[in-house]
Amino acid sequence: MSNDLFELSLVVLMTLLTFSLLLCFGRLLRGPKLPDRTVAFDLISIHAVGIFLLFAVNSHSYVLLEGAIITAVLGFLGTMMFARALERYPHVRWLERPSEDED
Amino acid sequence: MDISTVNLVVVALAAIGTLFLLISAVGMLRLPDVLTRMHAAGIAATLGITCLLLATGLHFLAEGQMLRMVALIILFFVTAPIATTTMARAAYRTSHSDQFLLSHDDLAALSPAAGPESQEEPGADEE
Repeated sequence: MSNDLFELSLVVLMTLLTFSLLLCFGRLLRGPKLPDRTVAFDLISIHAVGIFLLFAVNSHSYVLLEGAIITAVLGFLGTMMFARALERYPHVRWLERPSEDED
Repeated sequence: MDISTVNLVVVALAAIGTLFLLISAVGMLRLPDVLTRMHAAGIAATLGITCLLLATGLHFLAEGQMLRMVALIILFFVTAPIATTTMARAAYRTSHSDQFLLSHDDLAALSPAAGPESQEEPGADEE
């Protein structure tokens, strides 16, 4: 596989990952409750790691992999923080639209 | 091994990983429930990011990055179930039972105060 085709296919895969990330952002915007948004945030952090890895392969610089490791750890910590805060303060209504829960 | 063969394997593994992440994102958008969406975020995304990490480690094999990528794979395999379980517990304890598509609910009998309303089963009311 030649070098130009290699980089072109990596760019195509990065485009597909970006489209997939946009689908996750759709769930982040649409999710009716905060747990939906927390799950969407977890998947978004995994997508960020994937795009970081493909960018490092495409630019042939392995120094960028440090950023991928830090993104993975911070995504896990953010998900845990959201879940524990949601469990501890269940009656706080962050980010919820007021027209859905008026009953 | 030839460099073009390595490039082909790297692109194939990255394509498989991207495909699984795309499936995971479609499941995140299409599935009807929080607990079923956790399936998409926990299982398919872990497999996809594993393939992407293997592709990256194979591309930077001469620089010695394969060990770091294997360590990151182990990190994902450890942290993804922990995060999914914590999110599932938080989602169960902060919601009502009519928001989940559960056919069987074991936690409702154990914690009627914190969880959703417990369904009274026939024959289970002594002790």
